[in-house]
Amino acid sequence: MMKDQKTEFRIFTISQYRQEEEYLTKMHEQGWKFRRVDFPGFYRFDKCQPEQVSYRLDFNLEGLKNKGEYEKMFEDCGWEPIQDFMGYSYFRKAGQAGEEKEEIFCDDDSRLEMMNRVFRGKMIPLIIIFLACLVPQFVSNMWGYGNHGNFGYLVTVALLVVSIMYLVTFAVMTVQFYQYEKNAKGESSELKLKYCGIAAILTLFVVGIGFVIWASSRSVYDFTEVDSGYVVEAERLNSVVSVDYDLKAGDTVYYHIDHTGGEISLNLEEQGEDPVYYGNFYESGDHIYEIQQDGSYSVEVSGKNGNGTITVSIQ
Amino acid sequence: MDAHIKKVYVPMTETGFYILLCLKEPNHGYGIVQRVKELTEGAIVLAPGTMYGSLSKMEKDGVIRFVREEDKRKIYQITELGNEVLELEMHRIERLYRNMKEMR
Repeated sequence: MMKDQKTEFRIFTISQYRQEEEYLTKMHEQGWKFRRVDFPGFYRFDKCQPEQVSYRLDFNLEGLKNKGEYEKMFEDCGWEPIQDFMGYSYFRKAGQAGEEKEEIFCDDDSRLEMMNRVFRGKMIPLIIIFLACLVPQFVSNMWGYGNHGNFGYLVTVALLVVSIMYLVTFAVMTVQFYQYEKNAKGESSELKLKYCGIAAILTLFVVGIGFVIWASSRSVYDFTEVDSGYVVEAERLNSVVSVDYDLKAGDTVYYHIDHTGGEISLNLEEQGEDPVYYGNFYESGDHIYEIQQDGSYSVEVSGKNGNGTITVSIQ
Repeated sequence: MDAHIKKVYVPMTETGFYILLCLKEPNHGYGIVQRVKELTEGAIVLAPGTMYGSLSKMEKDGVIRFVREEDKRKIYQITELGNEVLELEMHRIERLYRNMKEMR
């Protein structure tokens, strides 16, 4: 890479176009002229004289459809079109030192309109993708369909992280919208009501996700101890049921599983040692293990959204 | 007049008012910027993001119409509906001015 060119990696989210404008302006002030940006966030610069140059972003899909006319209007007003990327159009204009940064919007109404366009153009498609992919995942997770195991767990965690990112971006955009609308149209009880409504829906959504997570990790089962053994009647087994027995070589531990859903795990280990028998099961069956060595054993039953009846008997 | 048009254009933003006023004669975006600068002695300088967005919106709302294109510049002119809406706004401003003068 030559010394008169530079590439920096930055991510600016949907609601951060102002920060992106600041970043490009600052770089130019330091002697780096913005050349172009490549997906997903590689900003390419050429060395130049440090200058006061204002960078602004517009979001106008109709403008992109009529690019000739759109860019001409900006050029007439002294703005140089640089690139369009992900729906945003990048412009720059030389400014006088000490003067306020140049703007491409001269009133709050049009600024708000631009934010509306961003919302309609970017946020709504994302929300649709969100609902189409993530919600079924959460639902299936809660009712214990399909294979779980470690991979399933990772997917759930990843989805959770993505959901939180979505909600944060959405919340930030909502706050931005509120401030702009307040400045443009004046504070009013109608405005407050509208945004309280949006905030309420967001909160409901967060609570809903929280509930789904809580519900899917609850453990619901009945435990009954019987002669030489025990019975676990599981509605949603998510925890470990463990009973200790003193066993002798030759004793047999007999597990009978009546499986109706989720994952049921069995574990048999001598205290303080590695398990001598363990497994994850997704269907009904009988599992028998003959003790090899005298000792005190933990005979365990656990699961992930496990549904069914597990009978443990020792002979 | 459409209830939607009334809601959006009465009262009007200062930008919207000047655009409609200037488009009593056919003109393009930058022409309007220059004319408004003249009329307000440099106090109001319309910006391209606002200009392009407003012109698109006004065309969709039917208060202005496309006349022709020259050198990649679209030329617009005010419509009947636009004139109606502008008249309403001008009456509002006149009333404002009258009351202002009385109470000054």
